[in-house]
Amino acid sequence: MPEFLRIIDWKTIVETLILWFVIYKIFLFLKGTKAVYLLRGIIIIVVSFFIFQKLGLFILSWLLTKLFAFFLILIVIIFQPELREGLIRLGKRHVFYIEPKQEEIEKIIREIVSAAGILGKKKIGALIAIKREIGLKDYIESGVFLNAEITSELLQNIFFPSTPLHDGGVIIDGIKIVAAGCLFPLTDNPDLERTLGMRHRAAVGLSETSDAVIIAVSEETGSISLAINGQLSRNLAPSDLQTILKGQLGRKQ
Amino acid sequence: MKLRERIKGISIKEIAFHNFWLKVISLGVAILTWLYVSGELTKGIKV
Repeated sequence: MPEFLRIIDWKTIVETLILWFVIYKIFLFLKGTKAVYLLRGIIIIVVSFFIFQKLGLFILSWLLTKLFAFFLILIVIIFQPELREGLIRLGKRHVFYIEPKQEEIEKIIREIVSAAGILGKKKIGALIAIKREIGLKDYIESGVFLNAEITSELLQNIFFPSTPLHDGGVIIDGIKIVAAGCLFPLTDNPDLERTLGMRHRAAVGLSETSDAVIIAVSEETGSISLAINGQLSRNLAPSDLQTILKGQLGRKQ
Repeated sequence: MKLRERIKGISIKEIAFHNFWLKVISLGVAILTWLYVSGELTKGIKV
């Protein structure tokens, strides 16, 4: 029996499971970000280190060990903004949050797209934020808490002119409309067209401070816009909106 | 839908196979890390 098998007890299993969970969460966090390339670099260095040690190339493995320490310091300096954002996300992530199922996501997208299309045709302004990883608690608290099922009719009703909640943004979290009449931060981006109204500026503003997907319907033109990561896509047809939302909100396999 | 109902709605298969390769790689890395650290600690004790 190999020596390492003799030391396997419940503590070993618990330690490995905790390590597995932490490493899996780190991988999940890095997936789809620039940091993936960084991770590949680290993996190449670590694998090379083990190969050099096995082959007895101690000068190279010594050099790699020193380089690795230097590399770690470099990572902290270069990726300081990403690390900060990552720690904020980690703090705001709900550990026991369960992602909606694919069918639920598709239904939600259908309802939102339908509402946006109808509101656009009627030239009724709307602002809908769909929460992703980063919490929007501060903005939820600025509005009226609803916790309602997402339906096209309810969304249309919320934004109907002269109703109490029509003048703010709606926040969607998972399968619920969490709040309506919410205040979103306005963007300071000088590159945005001056003709854009407050609704679009609020959409871009929220997309700059969070990873939410924000839909804005113009009351002047009835056009549908989408703000993601500080970028505004304008004059979208409902079918375009549906495609983009599916890509942005669909469960990643 | 309440949390408990939603948990019931998600099958074991879905939990196991969602991000399957990421889970397998993470497990591999976790085991390698544990073996490496445990080896280093044992070495330290022997010295």
